[in-house]
Amino acid sequence: MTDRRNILKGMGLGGGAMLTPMAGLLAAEAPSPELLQSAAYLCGPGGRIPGDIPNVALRTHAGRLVRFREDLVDGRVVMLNCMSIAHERVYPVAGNLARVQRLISERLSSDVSMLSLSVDPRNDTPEALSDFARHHGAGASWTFLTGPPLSIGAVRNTFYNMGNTPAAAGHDCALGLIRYGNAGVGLWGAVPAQLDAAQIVDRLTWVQRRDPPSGPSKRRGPNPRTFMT
Amino acid sequence: MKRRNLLKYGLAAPVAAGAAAAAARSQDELKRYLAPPDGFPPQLGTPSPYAEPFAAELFVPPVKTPVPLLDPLPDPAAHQLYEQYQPAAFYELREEEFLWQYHPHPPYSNDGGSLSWGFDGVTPGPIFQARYGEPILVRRFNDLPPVGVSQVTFALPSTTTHLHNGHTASESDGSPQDWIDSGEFWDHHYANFPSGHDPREKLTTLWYHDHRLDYTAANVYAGLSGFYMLFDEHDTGFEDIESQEYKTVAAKYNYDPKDAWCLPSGEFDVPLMLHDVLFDEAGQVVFNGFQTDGWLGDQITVNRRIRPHFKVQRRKYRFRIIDGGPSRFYELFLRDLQRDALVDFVVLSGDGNMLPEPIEAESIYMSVAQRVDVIIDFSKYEVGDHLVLENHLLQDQGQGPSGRTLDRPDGILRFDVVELQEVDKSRIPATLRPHPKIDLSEVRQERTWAFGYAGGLWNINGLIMDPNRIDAAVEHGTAEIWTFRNSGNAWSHPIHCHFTEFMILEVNGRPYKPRELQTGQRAFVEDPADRERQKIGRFMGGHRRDVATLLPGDEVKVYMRFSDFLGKYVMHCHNVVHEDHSMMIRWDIVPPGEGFLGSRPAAVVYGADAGPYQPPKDPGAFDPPYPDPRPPAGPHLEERPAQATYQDG
Repeated sequence: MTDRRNILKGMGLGGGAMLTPMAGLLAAEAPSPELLQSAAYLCGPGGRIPGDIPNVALRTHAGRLVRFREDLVDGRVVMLNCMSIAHERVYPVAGNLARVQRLISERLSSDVSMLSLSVDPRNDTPEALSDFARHHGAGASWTFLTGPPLSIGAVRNTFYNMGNTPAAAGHDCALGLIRYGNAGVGLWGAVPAQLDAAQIVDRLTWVQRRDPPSGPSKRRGPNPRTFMT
Repeated sequence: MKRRNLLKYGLAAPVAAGAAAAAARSQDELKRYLAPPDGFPPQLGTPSPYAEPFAAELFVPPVKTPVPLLDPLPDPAAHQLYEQYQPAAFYELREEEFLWQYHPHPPYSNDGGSLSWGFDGVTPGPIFQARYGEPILVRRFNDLPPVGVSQVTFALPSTTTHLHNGHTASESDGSPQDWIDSGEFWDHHYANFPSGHDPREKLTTLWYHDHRLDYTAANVYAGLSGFYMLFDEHDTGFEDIESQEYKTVAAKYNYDPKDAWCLPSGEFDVPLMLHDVLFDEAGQVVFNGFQTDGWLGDQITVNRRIRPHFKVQRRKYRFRIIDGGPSRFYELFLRDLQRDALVDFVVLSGDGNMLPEPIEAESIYMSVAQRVDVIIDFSKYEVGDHLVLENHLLQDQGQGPSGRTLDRPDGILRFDVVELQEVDKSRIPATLRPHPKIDLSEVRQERTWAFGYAGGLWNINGLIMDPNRIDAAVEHGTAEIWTFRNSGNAWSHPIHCHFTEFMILEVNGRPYKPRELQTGQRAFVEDPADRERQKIGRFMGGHRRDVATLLPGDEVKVYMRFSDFLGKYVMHCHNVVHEDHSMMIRWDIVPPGEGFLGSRPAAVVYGADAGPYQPPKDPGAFDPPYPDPRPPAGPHLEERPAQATYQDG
């Protein structure tokens, strides 16, 4: 029931935010393009396989319309966190992600796609997110996302699968955890969003593709300091 | 908000007719897609393909055999107490990717089976038969294909193998951060002596499993687990003290035949590891790492065969049952199918700790990582009879059992009785091993650990796992009292502490008296010393354990001693999905006088340039001769570079 209401809410928001004031009022009656695309994806003929990464349509902080899986995830090393500008005040994460962004550019030669998905699309419009991104010095590979609750819910329910509790209900259980992975391989992990940035970047290296080792096996340990390190 | 209200009250009425028509058209378009309830596809998992129960044959892993020499040699300076406990045997164990037959029928048998990880080509890995007084060294090779090459894509081919719950030096414990990548190896030195050299601290059934930081659930689920048995002068590994094999071992270790318990041994001593697994329609293993509550499979496997059968002779058997997880709890019963009656187990041990005396129990309650050794006597049955090991506990969510029982019991292993080949010389002794003494005068510190949940993460005292932070420094040679408190009233946490067993002092504020046994969350059976022990309903693990099962709202207070080694260890929830989502702390054993409460960074405690560790000198400790006759150890790999070696994403 709630979800159908959310769809209707989303119609107003997604369209209204992006069009001229007059057209916005009109579009408030019509579903937004991202809602239509997402609904078609989620509920269309054949449906989708549970656990698959949804290809729902979302809006970036630059106002660009994107399909989540095809445009942002497929074939890449990705990290995803759920956030909202309001929640940032009680559970700050963006500053740590800015440190992560700096360390990625210092330490990794290949790019990592950083995705921050707003769970408060009513307030976190592309304009608001754009401002927020600028404040935290978000670079080209750090994308903030918003959109209709239907699309956001689909992404959140996939990456933050909390048994029988729908992520849309009441308090949000997804805001403390970063999901990261190598979508090209299909390997995913999780790391606390407030953990030391260097340790978060370490994890991004774990999921990167590697060549098979050559030569005899090498000793990794222990060494005389292992017990305390 | 305001605009929505305007619309609601019809104040936005004057709109162009064309635009309204377009809006209506797209509304219709949208409605076409709203067939599933509320627009969302159902969250239900897809069940595994049908697998005929009891069609597969039970797999019993081979016993691991030693190698004469390791090349390069182990580095004695890297291990605590190495000189005092020089390995009497060396082993090489290889982690590999292979196809595994979970079931003999399609789709499980298609294309050679299911992609799996394991040790030496099998899962569970080979059985280690170790002996108190005989130190060993196991060199573990990570021969798994690396990320991008491995076909088991949900797990991380970077591993660290923990011996659960060996009294093991920190560097050989298989700590979460001591991992090896593909093409690397790590030496684990198992000194095989009881904690504090107290024979009452001895263990019997242990298991080894992967413990990789953040990836334990996925890696163990992929197949990285195996058995480790420990024998001594009582639990000798031989049921016939007249046999030449026993006499050879007895002569070597100075065993007195009067001490021998003669438990069922050899092929009649069978380990059983339970893992619940989910499969796709092609018979391949499915895992969803996005699930944080816990991961459940619908096919219960025993030693990685789906609901197998096992031919048993008309005699006594010892079974070592291990709940291998990742998240499922069990309550096991044994049913005689001929009479449709439940049969009691004779319980020997809980979590590898021998009980003071065997107990008859109707059922066995197991949380993840718990072990129970039982004896089942099949001599009472006729050839052709069947008995079934059943699970009665309902668990449909990863967060823990529902508290209800299954409408129809779930048969997970069928015993098929066949003729006896040789006389059964095994016995069930009247007494086993007394528990160690609790000496409260040794207690230096009390700590409380509350297991909670916030922001999508499981935590301990609000802390999330950081391998570089020490959350408790306990002093070498002291005892502590730890309280494990479940902060939640809906979920269950099997809490496991590495390195040392604990004695339970209190359960939910009620003292756990020495002659009692816990049979329920708040139920205990008293056992008056002056008459024969009654059989009990449900066995939940006894007094001495290494897993404290916290059911919703539970609080358990335990006593534990820390001796012999220094260094880092962990304590965590053994619902390994919870562990991987941060429900773990690092604690360290430090020299006397250096303990602390609260958390400190490891770099602050040890100093960035602390010198090499000097092991504590035992009286009569081994002094290496000068010049050292042993050839030098091979070089260590340099520290892992901050920049990853491979960067092609």
